[in-house]
Amino acid sequence: MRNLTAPLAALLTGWSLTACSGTAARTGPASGPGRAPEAPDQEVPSIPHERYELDNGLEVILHEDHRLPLVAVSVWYHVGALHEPPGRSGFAHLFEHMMFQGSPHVGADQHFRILQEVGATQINGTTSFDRTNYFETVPAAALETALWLESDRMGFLLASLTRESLENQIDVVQNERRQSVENRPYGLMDELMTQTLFPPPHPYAGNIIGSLEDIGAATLDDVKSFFRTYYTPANATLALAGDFDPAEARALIEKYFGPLGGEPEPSTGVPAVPTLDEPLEITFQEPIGRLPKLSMAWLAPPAFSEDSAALDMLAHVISGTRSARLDRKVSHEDLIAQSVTAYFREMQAGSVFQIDLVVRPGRTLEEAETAIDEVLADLRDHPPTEEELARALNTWETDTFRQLELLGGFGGRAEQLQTYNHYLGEPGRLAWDVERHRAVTVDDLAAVLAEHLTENRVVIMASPLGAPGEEKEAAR
Amino acid sequence: MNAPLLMLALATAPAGADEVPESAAWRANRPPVPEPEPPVLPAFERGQLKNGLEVHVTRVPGLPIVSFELVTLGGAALDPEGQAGLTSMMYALLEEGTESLDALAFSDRVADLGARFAASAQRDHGTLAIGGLSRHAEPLLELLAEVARRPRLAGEDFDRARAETLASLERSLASPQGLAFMVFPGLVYGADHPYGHPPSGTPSSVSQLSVEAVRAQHARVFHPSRSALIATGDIDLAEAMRLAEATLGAWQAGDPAPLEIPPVAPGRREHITLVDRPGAAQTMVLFGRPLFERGEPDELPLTLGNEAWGGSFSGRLNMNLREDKGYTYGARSQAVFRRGVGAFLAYAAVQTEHTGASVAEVFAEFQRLRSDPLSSDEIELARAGIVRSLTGQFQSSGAIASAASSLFVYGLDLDYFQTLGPRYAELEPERVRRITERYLEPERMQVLLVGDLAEIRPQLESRDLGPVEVLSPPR
Repeated sequence: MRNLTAPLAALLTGWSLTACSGTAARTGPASGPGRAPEAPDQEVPSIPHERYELDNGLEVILHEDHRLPLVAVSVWYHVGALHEPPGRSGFAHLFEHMMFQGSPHVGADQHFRILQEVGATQINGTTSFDRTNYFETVPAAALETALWLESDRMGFLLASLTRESLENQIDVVQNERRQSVENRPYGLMDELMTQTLFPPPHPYAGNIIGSLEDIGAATLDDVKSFFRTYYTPANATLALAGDFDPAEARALIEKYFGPLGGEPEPSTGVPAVPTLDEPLEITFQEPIGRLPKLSMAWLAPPAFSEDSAALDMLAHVISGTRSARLDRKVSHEDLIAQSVTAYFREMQAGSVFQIDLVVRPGRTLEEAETAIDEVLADLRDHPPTEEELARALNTWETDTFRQLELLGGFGGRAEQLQTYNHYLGEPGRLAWDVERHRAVTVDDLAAVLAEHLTENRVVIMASPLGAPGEEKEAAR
Repeated sequence: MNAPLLMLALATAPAGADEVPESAAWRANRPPVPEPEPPVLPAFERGQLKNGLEVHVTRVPGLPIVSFELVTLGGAALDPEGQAGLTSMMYALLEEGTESLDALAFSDRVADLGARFAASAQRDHGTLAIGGLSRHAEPLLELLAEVARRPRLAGEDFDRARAETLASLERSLASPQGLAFMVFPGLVYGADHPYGHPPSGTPSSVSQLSVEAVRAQHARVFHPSRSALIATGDIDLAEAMRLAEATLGAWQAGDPAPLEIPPVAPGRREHITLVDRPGAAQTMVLFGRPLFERGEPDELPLTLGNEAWGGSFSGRLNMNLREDKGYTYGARSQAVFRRGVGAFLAYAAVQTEHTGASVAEVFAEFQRLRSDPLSSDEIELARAGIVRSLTGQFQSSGAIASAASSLFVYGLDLDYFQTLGPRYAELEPERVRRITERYLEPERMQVLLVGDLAEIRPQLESRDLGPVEVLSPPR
């Protein structure tokens, strides 16, 4: 039985400790208030791995870590909302649900049951704008079971699909939409923002979940053609992270995935990033939320392009800690906001820089907009300082490294490798990503602020329709 | 714009791709899974300072990161009568700085250390947490100790924090889930029980809180003999004890308030409670009842039975409401155990037009435990899932810290998690069935619906599901 308290050096197979001492050196006490941060250390984190390809085009990424007898299994299909045909918004996600309905050798409703029986954790599938992923973390002894499950649905799903299970999952996904959009505060407003930034026919306009109507219109033929085109081994990447013997893992992967046939990798194009030629200000009647909310967003170049690290750091300077520029003004001094966030979301066909502010009772959307504009103007006049940038980077690094504790599941190491592989064609780009964040200067922040956060932006002002329950109760 | 490509691919798809070739027949043999090895669990260690403070340490090597949590018994259960939300407000105010650092300076100090700080109150305890790089262990813990021992608790900060909390409550009440979880504890425990109010309080209770009350609550709650320092990550017991002694060794406090949670007699349901949300696309549906204290002999059998009934994706509840009927995106149940009386809870967000049918199906699933008791397969699946996933439950230092915290809060032995496997293994299926049936009793389930009254009422009436009482949302 392995013990978690074994000597440190013996346990670093899967993670380089030097990685983090680099951070430590830079964020030491010398970077405290009033002192310039130290020069970045050259040491950076890495996730050791190997990558190879099967004859059928399936990419495989292996990352060994023997600290716990667990293996994270992650399969990415390089298809997302981005590839949905017109009239089929939400289809990539609906399809993801069908992948859990049971493939021919596994059986209906068996996927979760079998994973539960072997003691799996972190079992899920997710669909984003750009890709669809499936993952589970299993005890090392059950690796073969996970490969059996994943390969069977990759190879043979269509043979067990039924109209009944499609109709059932249409109901389930429509209810997922009701829960996360129609009946959730600001759900419709958030969807409107995506649709405004990426107007149809841009495939992002469906906001991943799609419309109730489009979800309901999906046919069995849609499911089949989508599977044949996009769920081919040549369009997928399998990653294992954890406690396995690489030679044994390779043999098992060849056994289960090697025989799978399928179409060659689809040659899909990526639509251009839309442009905003003028400022757009939209007022919206919010049916669920009871506090006014303002969202302000700008379009930015695709994921991992040149300015994206600086935009990410800029978001951290604007919001995220009490003394960040915007938080300080709207939450601490002027007391306008119930909550405020700024974030940079990177996507393949266009990234988004967004500020969301929920307004306190008694304050107004106009005050919120004025306050944000004042903070942005002040940032132009008084660019971020070295100290602000250092804090932003510290926070970003701590959050990034914390995610690496997990082998798999949301944000774990298998997903990190997959993310870099998907967007950059190379799994081992974490070190590069850290370096480019460390390399951002205060001048870069000023430059991206001037270039990307222009007057051509979308502002949505959502005013509550009225507290639900009140009017009708009064009328009774 | 992708349509032409899609059509192209379709045209070249081989005929008969929906069929499984003969050559794949071997795949019907599910791979064997070897007998599970014993779980690999963190080594929980414990020490104690002279002032009574417990020091719990779990070393997690690999990353030079450490987290400290100061966990103090009490929590929202110690809110005085009529002051629901006081403990939460006190913890919120602990984020507003210390005697020597005002709120902004405190926030900057945390950010300079590349750290995150959070303060929150749960039902049985409160937590001050800070985490960062292990080479900053000492300044991180100094900051945490200063918050606990010398908080600012200033009037101007209180006014701001209370306004912020009131705004957050207003926001939560707009969400069907937020509203439901604010109302339901009162229905399950009774409004006067220490667990009967939401830990956050309600708008009316919070608006009456004062900074004086917060200061008094700080004195009633914080005491070294009622607290544990939970250190997790790149740190060992000796180092944690040394740091704890240096930062918290001199901590003394007056007498804390007594901790007593009265029992609750589970009453019969007299009506279904409904909070009206005209036009809502879904109804939030909750079933619940009080249980018993953590550590009672029925705890593990009921946990296992619940896992099979509604605690997992493959449980009866979700398979019925989601995978069979498609009424919901997901339905789950939980047996929650606390220092005092625990609770059973089942919940789902269901489509408005299927609300009556959903409520009837949940009742039918309770009944079915009697006519069609949990099968051996269902019980063994649940048992295997719980026992074999133990290793996987302790992957992150956050999960480990939370486990260490529960050892302290519930007074469990340090080897508690090691003993779970054998204890689950010896549970007789018959006992699991009997106990699950005993507690999942339809007549004693309180039911709360948050949804469109006009749409729902006829659905309930036509199924004869008993009277409906409409409740105003909390103010």
